[in-house]
Order: sequence, then structure tokens, then C-alpha cells
Amino acid sequence: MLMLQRGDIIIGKWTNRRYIILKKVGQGGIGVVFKVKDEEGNIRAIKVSDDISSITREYNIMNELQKLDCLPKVYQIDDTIIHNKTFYFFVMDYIRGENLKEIIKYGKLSIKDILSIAYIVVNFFKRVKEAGYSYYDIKLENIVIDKYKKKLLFIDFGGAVEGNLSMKEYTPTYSPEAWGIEVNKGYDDRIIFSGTMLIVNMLLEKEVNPFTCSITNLVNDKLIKLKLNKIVEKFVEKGLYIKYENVNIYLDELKDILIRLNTSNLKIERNYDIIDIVFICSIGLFVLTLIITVNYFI
Amino acid sequence: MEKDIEFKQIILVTDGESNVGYSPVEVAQNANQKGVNVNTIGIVTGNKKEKPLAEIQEIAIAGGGLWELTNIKDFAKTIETVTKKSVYKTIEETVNKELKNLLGTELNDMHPTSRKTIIDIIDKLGDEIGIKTCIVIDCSGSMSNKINIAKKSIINLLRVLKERKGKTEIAVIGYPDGDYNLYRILCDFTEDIVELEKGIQKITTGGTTPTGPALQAAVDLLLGNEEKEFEDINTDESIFKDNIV
Ligand SMILES: Nc1ncnc2c1ncn2[C@@H]1O[C@H](COP(=O)(O)OP(=O)(O)OP(=O)(O)O)[C@@H](O)[C@H]1O
Repeated sequence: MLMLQRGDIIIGKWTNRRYIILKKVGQGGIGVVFKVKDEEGNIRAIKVSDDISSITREYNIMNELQKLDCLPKVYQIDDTIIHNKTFYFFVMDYIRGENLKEIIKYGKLSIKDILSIAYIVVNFFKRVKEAGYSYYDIKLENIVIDKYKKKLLFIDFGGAVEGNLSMKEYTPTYSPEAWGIEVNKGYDDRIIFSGTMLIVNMLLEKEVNPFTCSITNLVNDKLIKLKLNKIVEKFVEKGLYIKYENVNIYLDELKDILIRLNTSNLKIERNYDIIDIVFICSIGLFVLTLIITVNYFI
Repeated sequence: MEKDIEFKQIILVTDGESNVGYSPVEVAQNANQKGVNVNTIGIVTGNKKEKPLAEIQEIAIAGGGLWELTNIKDFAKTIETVTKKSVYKTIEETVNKELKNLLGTELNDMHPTSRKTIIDIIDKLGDEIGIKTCIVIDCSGSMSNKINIAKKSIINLLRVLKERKGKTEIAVIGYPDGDYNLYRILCDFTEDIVELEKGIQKITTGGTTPTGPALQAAVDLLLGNEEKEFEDINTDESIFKDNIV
């Protein structure tokens, strides 16, 4: 599709500004993102596409949401001609950092990290709604931790829409419908579900697929149960089945859990329940019998 | 363009090349001339350069639609994107044409910061327009291990599209149907998820790949009602003439 190499120059048709391509940093459904240097020597990112509406829409929404302070700053929007074909692009801050998909690969996130991230994400979606937009196309890939500013940033607003139009695109993993979960209260339900699914994916260190797995599978997942205590486990289950009245109640409960985690110096560990105690006792009994039997034969 | 205008499209889903019956490319071309948009999705395993799938590109180009390759795991997202993109592409083209007629200018010629008003109109239309999508799905032997995900993805598509304000109807044609029939209408146009689920459960896999005839069946299904209306008007007219005489 779009072939640009290091050193190639993009010239804006309307502003006449020049950008030197440094490297390609990513590609998605809408367009290609390049790291560039502008005329003043600033390092920026540009998103280029042949889809005029997508670029215009995304730029406008990012521009409107600047005050939320959780996304790259946007600069110019312009057109350019590459190999006789018109492309549309906008300029934004280049983010140095890693996205959550890369970060979970190292398996370094603690339960507290994971829940804090979910809190920030869901709270952000709530503020987006308050600003008059709908956006819940989260993907681990679209959430980046800025290494320098030590901040969580959202990078892809291609799926965001104004008001209550239906979303342009979103990822099945984070969509309740794809899992057969009913949505009654619109946006709040969706962001509660998305946020909880994000927790699940970070715990499992992969993005689960609704077409090969079910919510029941997730709720009963051994690894998730092993990593969480009863309270968090319950919270995740309620989130996946969207059993919260609204997003504020959800966030309050999440905040409560986080405060508790902070005050108890203990790392979050699983509380043993009856089954575990029975299991441990029976192992003890077995070992004891073994020792007695061995002794008997010696 | 008004909101009760219907957008008619076909989404052909296959993992191979047609091998029985007439050319699907010709069918797609004819369909496009009658206002039906033909899009194609090729299901690949790993290697994206599989040769048989060159045909799906030809079909989409002839049918005025989009084509996309995907592995089965991401099929749900792909079919959703292709469906929506083809709707928006068509609306955009139409709006552009209107702009040119009215103002002698296109979206392209406007300054990027003043395009928003037009894009807003496009978005609103996209949300309100009626969509009639006929999915034509390859059920030949090679699809057997992919069909379950494909079924769930089609149901998901209806769920997602139903979030819009406009009406969404989906029909599904599977091909071939057993060893004897070239295709089978698994589900006629419906807005109802349960009905769609019921139809899709009928899918079985095995047999050849008669893409052309199956595609033609989709065109007939999409245009079926219209042609009937047309006939009705004709008969009305003749009665009217008779009366005059
Ligand atoms: N401002 C930025 N700074 C650095 N890297 C970025 C920036 N924006 C995007 N990227 C990189 O480019 C990739 C593609 O961007 P993005 O997800 O926005 O594209 P897209 O075409 O909208 O994709 P999608 O199909 O997910 O909608 C991202 O995954 C990220 O790695």
C-alpha cells in the first residue's frame, strides 16, 4: 500500500510544511504511522491514510479530547501527494514507550498494577463520554505507557464517534455482544465490560478470543483464580456479567479494592477456602501414611 | 440520499477458488451494475500470498466492493470492517457526487479543517441507512475446521450492526449444499438474531466450490423483491391503458 522510506519527504498541500520520514512505527486498519522530523527539528508521529473521512474524524476527535490529557497532542492536519495519489494525514506527538501488549509479555505487572490500569482506562472512557463522544475500542495495543512522562496514553481514536452514533469499529474481545453478554444500559455497560476484560487479558497475558472461548471459561479459569483473592475474583466475575448499576459504582468498588491493597502491606494472595484446606490435609494424611508404611517395612 | 434508502451488499467468504459453474467475476460485474456492492473475504492460513485467492480480488473489483484477507481467528473483525467500510465508501462517493453537482467541488478540494461538516453528514447517513447484507459462505470441504468460528462471527455481525439506528437485515447462502445442490439459502433476510442462528445451524461442510452460481443466487435474493415490484407497476400500467381504451 503506502511505501515510504527513511529520508523520504512528505510535503503538506495546504500548509506547505515538510516532514522527513525517520521510520515506520506501526500499521493498522486505517493507516500507517511514521516517526518524522518536522521543519523545526521536532520529532513527531504522523498517521497517513487514503481514507479521507477516517483521518478527518480521528483528528477532530483527538483535537476535541485534548483537554482530557491522556492522548498525544495533535498538530496539523493536511493532504499530500505520494506517487500521484492523494493521501491524508495528521501530525501528533511521537510517544516513546511501550504498549500494554508488549508490556504483558514480560509478565511483570502486579495485580495492583493491573487494577490501577483498569481504573485509569475506565475512568478515561467515562470522561470521554462526558465530553460528548463514544470510545471503547480498547486493545492492549492501543494503550501506551509513556516512558518519560510516566503516563498512560491512548493512541487510536479511529473507532471513536460523536454523541451516540454507533461505534465505527471495535475489537470483538472487548465487546460484550461478541461474547453473547446482553447490554442494557448502553455505554456504561460497555465500558464496564471492556475494563474488566482488560483485567482478564492482563492476568492471562494474552487477548482472549470470544469465538473460541466463553465467559464461563474465563470465570472458572484456574490461572485467574490462582492469581486473585476472593474479593477481586468476585469483582471480575460481576464485571464480566455486567452486574453493576452504573460505571460510578464499578469505579468506586475498584477504588476500594485498590485502597485495601495499598494498606495491607501483604501482596495480594489468594485466601484459602475449605476445598484447599481439605486438599492440603489429605496430602498431609497421605504423606503420613506413606512414612508409617515405609517405616513398617524397614 | 434519504435514510430509508437501502444499501445492498454481498459479502463472499471463501478459502479457495471457484471450480464449478460460471464465472463469479461476471456475476459480480452484473450485480454492481444493478446497484449491488460485492465484497470478498479470503480466509488464509498464515501465508497471505496464496494464489487461489487472486480470484477474490477480481470478484471484488468487478463488484465495486472491497476485498480483504484474514485468518479465521480475526474473521469476526474483518467481516465487520468490510461491511461497514463498503457502506461508508458508497455513501462517501454519493455525497461527493452531490457536492460536485451542487457546489462544483469535492471533499478533497475543501480545506482539511472545514471537512468536518460533510464528514458528519456521512456519519449520520451511515448510522441511519438501511443495510441489506447477503453473506455467501463457502462450505466446501476445506472450510470444515473453520466453519464454527465463521458461524459465530456472522451472528456477531448482526449484533454489531443492529446497534445502529438504521435497519439491518442479513441473509446467508451456503455453497455447495451436499453433493447435489450448488447452494442453499440458509436464511432469508432477517433482523432477528434467533432466526439467523437457526439458519446458520443448518450449515454443513463438504463438496466443491461453485462460487458463481451461489453469488448469482445472492443477487437474485437481494433484487428479488424489487423485480417483483417492477412487474407490478407494469401490470398496473397496462390495466390503466386498457381503461383508457
Ligand atoms: N503517536 C504515536 N507515537 C508513537 N507510535 C504510535 C503513535 N500512534 C500510533 N503509533 C503506533 O502505530 C501503530 C498503529 O497505530 P493505530 O493503532 O493508531 O493505527 P490504526 O490504523 O488506527 O489501527 P487500528 O486498526 O488499530 O485502528 C500503533 O500500534 C502504535 O504502535
